[in-house]
Amino acid sequence: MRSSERTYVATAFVPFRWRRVDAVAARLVAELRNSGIDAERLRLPVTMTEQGAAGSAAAASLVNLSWAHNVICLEFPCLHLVADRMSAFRVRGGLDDHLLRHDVVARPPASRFAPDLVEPGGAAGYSSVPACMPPGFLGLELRDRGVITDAADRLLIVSLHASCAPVAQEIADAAPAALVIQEHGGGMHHDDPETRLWQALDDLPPGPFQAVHVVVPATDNAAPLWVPELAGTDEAWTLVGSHGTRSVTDSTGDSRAAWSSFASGLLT
Amino acid sequence: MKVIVAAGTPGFIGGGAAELAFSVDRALRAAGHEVELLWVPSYEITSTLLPQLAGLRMHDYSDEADHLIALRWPAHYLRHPRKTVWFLHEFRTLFDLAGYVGELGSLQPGDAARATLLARWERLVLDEARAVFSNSQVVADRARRSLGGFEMQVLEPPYPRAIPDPFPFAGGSHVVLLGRVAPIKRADLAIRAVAASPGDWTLTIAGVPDPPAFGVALQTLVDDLGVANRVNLRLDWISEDEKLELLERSALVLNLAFAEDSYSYVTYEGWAAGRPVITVSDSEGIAHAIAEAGGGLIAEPDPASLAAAITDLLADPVSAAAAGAAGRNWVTAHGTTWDDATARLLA
Repeated sequence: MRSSERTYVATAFVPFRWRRVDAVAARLVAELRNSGIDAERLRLPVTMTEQGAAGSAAAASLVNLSWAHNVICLEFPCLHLVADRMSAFRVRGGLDDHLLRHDVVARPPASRFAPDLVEPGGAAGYSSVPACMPPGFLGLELRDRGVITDAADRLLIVSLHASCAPVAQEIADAAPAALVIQEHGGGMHHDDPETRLWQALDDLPPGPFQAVHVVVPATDNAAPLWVPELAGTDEAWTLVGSHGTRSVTDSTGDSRAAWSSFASGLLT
Repeated sequence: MKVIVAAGTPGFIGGGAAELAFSVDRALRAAGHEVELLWVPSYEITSTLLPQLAGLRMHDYSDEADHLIALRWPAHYLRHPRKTVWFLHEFRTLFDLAGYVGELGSLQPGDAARATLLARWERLVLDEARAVFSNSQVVADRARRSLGGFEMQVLEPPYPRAIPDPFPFAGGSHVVLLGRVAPIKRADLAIRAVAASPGDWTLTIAGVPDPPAFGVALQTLVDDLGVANRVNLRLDWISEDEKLELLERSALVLNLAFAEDSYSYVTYEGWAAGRPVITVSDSEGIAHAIAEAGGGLIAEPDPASLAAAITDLLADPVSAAAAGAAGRNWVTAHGTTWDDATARLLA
């Protein structure tokens, strides 16, 4: 029998569009279930005009989910739900970004956040949760774009930090078929590498690629969570530490373990 | 066509309403439509009911979809200019189950006023729909009484999947009770019938306990009545294959839900397998279907009467097989197809 810990993974209901946040939510539910947690998705109706956002927040605040043990919120307006225990992380491209970009701030009470996930401040006064990159979403995106397929025969290297460049170049030199994307200018937690990465991926020549090597600072704690799925299989990826102190190759676990760790981290 | 299928859900539990939503989703996709399923949390606490419904009314999907099909309550509170409602039941705590204490708790102060207001709201949101169907005559009759004569067309859901082949009837003495194991489904009555029966027939109860404490209570009841050697509690979600295996080994099926809206899928599945179904007289939609189909027996809702009905049918395999065959015939010949149903829902 499953655990009686009933957990909702909540997003907005945006019909007939593929969104990363939905893919992340679906995967998160699957992994929570694999961990024995009774998890379900919850999609909240939402209207994304300025006036509609306020109404959506108000409507969400009228939904009382106190009987559920946990609610994991991935985007607006889920943090407005009434729940006894709530945790959250932000997914790039989710509705929070849209709201912030348009300065439509529907600010939830900070008490609704799990304390260890709160980062005070943030844009437009929004009490943001860490821009935590969930595992696998980059892989999902690359597969969705057809960059990665099972019949891949090329190599993609993505360098996310200036300090990674020498290592990335080493890989590139060793693999003539490699395509190297250099994205410099800030660390994973100091700037906005995700956005720049997506912009670079938009300009990619048609794939497929044999493997995706992502070069990130070895000290970065977020990377191991999502890198394993970049290549779509557990074996075909490499994470390279760029500080010269260690090189991690196929050793940070399979994607299942990464997701499981990520999911359980949201519930502790 | 882009179609949103919205359905209320109590969350974390399957059941007939969820099965219907999946069936509609499949049928619409098979007909070439794009479909999004939206599960709307259903509300059980009357004191917060009305504000939550007001919240639902804030959402209009005119721009996102060509059509909205609202199934289980309260999905029909969403707005759309092309909204079709397939009405499965009202907010039961304040309407047909008002005063029923077995599962939903007693009425709270202010509930009478809430029921009056809710009836007006129901008319408001149903009147704006292009069409309103009920899943059974029982539900249509209830709505006519509680909603000031509101008329619904009856559209009984077709079998949710391809109808399986029936199992040969081999008699025996094994009885099954399937589905959500909630107080209102009265698995406890079946256990008491075992204790009240001198026979040696055995009972398997299979399904998810809702709430979990009810499963514990059933186990305690089995122990207290000393029938552990005759009752098998399989209190978990069972797969379709497990369900079919249980039905194949069974001689008859129990479906004892109180005030059921319709025939219920459990009846349908028992009959599809060629098994007779026994219910009790206050099960409404189930008793209505059994009387119409001749697919089983209707006992009184007490252990002795139920035990007698079970014993009688087990002792007469010819009649049991005939009742199972009649039920099977009702399943295969009754009602509409999914093609017809989806065409009516989108008309």
